[in-house]
Amino acid sequence: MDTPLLEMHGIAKTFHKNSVKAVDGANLIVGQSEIHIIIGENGAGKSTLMHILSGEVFPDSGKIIFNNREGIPGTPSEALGEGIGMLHQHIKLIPELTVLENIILGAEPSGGYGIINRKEAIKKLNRLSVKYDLSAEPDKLVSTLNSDEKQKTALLSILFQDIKLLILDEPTTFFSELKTDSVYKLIRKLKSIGKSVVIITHKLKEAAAIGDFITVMRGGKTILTLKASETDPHRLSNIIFGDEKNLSPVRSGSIFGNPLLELKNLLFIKNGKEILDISLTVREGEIVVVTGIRESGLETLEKLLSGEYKASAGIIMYKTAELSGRTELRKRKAGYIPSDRIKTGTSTESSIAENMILLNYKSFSKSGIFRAGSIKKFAYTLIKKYGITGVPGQIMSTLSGGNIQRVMISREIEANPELLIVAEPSRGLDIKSKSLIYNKIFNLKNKGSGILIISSDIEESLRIADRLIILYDGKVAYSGDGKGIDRSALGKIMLGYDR
Amino acid sequence: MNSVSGSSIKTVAVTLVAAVSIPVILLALSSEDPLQSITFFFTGPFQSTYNLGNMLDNTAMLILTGLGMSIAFRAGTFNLGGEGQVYAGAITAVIISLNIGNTAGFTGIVIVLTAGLLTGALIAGISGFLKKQWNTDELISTFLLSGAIIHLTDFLIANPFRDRSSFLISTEKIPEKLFLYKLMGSSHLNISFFLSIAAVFLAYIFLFKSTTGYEIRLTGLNRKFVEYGGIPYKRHLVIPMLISGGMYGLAGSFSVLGNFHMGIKGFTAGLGWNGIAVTLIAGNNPIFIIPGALIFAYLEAGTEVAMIHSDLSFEFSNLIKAVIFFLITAKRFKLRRKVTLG
Repeated sequence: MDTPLLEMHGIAKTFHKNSVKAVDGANLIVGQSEIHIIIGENGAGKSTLMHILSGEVFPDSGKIIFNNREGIPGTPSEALGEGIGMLHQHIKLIPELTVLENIILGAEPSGGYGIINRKEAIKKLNRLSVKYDLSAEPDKLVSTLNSDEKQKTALLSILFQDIKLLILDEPTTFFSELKTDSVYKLIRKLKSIGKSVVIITHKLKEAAAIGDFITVMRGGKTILTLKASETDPHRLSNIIFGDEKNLSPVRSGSIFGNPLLELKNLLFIKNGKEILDISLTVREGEIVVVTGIRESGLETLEKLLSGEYKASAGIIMYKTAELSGRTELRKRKAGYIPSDRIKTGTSTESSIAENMILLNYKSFSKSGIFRAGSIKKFAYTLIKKYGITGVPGQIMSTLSGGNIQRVMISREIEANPELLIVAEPSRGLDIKSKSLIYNKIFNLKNKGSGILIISSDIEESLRIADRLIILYDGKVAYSGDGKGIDRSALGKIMLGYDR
Repeated sequence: MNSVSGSSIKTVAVTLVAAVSIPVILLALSSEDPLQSITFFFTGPFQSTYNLGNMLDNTAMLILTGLGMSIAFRAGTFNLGGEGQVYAGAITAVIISLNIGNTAGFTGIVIVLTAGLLTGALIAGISGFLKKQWNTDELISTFLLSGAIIHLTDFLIANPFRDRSSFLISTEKIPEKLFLYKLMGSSHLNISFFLSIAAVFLAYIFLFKSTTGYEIRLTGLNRKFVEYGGIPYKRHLVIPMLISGGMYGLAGSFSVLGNFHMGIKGFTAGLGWNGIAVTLIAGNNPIFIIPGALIFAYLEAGTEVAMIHSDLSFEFSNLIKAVIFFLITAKRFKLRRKVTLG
């Protein structure tokens, strides 16, 4: 029998600042040319376990044997040197450098005298591009790339080093729906040339579809490892959560009130090209979902609403007033959950409590000085209500991705906004967190708030919308209540086949 | 595979051992009588109340300048103009003191200190305002402004306010009724020591317990987040600068009223830069600025005593200071384990 490529035994890690056991005696065995899925709810310890393997987190105890060598990598570059590469959920690239410079960083082919051999680098990159079907423009600045291109660049920078094991953290979450296939293709290609892939995911179907083995994590422990062919999403879900959860919120037939937000022929033109042209109305008690494929205008719509972009023409009305910027939206007490959760929605080096009080911090003070007790009480209430694993004083960056999102969601929803704008509500969330956020959104709706959701998740859009708007190429391709429209019809509209 | 726990204790131990042994080695290599030099270096500051008092007075000044820097750092801005701001605060204190006439001691002292503080605040405030208005890089503008102000102050001391009867390039002595109350014999230690400790706690409360401090810290950590939260953050490009410069100006006027009692060319030199060093030792935490300033003042006093009483040269003493400072600030002495061969 072949020896496995990777063995991890009794791995444990407690983050000292808050003594939360992130990983608690986890074991993992990955064979040669194997696709291994790690699945579990938010905060189960999946990312931490993989960060230990990729050298970013040093464990308290445990043993790792990789490629017949025992040792724990101290830094990501050490791990890379051993042949372990990880693609992160939040991509780490240097925006001021070009695609090529980012890709070769740390493994620059030398032309002697400390000069980079550019020809050699380009040659190697081209070989990789062809081999893995990943196109790249080497001289483009990373800051000008869209998120798909950034993901590709990050992936190429790992493949540029000769790795034996690739770790992917939620790979399909950040590629758009249509590109999932190409991610799968890439993963299978890696397998076929003898490399192993470990994938962290929330998506049950994905796990069963592509994995050879599936390891389930819960509470920092590895619960069990199954052969993917012997299981199905339904069974997996039961193992992950213990019991079956009803995932579909009931759409309530509602009576809608007055308009809260109106976009009237809102136009955004960039370099003479019409990027977005949209009109829509969000009324009290109504959930409006705008969906579409990548580059159909969803990102632009969010930036126009947040005030980052200025509209070229048209009007944004909030109730009876015209708005122009982000600050104004906030002054009018609108809630906003941005798609960029980490850089915009969170202050990662501040505490949970400090993140939670952002919208009403002054109400926790008396003559300019905070009352610590009331802040703590507020934070504990939200932590309990939103099932956050953490304590008020804990620094956000020590939380799992799912918990970071819950902190932000709790802040925006607890402020009881009349209008809530949510971009990509379920991005990177597991089933439990998803149903939590849907429930909170429905509560808000039932209280009479209006909700505008910008989402590229088709199923989600269909399930929760009172009014569904589909964008194609910056224009409204469909606007209606979404009744009598199924997933395949929706897909056609999104791709511009059917108008 | 060993457990990694206990590594932080190991890290501190390694740093301390290195910080003590490297100067010992350097002294042993350079001195004719190493034992004597080493003894003076480490025990000098405690050998007399004069030495001890002066060290503590220097600590007080470093606390203020360290605070000035750390508040700017917390807000995500830099104030590289400390040198000029301290100097300007000091010369303002001298000029006001010389012209204050018969104003009674306490009132006079308050007026002089306030004037010094405002001078520092105003100078740093200019850079903050430029940043807010035209996004001028405050790193550059504080530094350049400070450079110009140092020359201007030199001129003021050497020309219009010069005391021609003195062999120093200095101003006249300020009236004695404005001298700060001394605490330890003939040393310079005076009540400004307690005031600077009080400033630490005020700064701590301001930064961590007040709503303005919350806004300032968030602005320093993630400006996008503050903007997203709808907090008007632009004034926090100016306010921290005012506070930072104010602290420097205050340190300058304290050193006039408590220590020098006149303006001497270049007499506050080093306080501004050393404030940055103290902040780095303290890891930007106001409370840790007290031990940080103490460590720094101790090193300065040790090298000074060793220089006077042994054959240690000025250059070598600075080298030792630099090595120790480097070791203290390199706080993440990570003892990371390499991937070992199986």
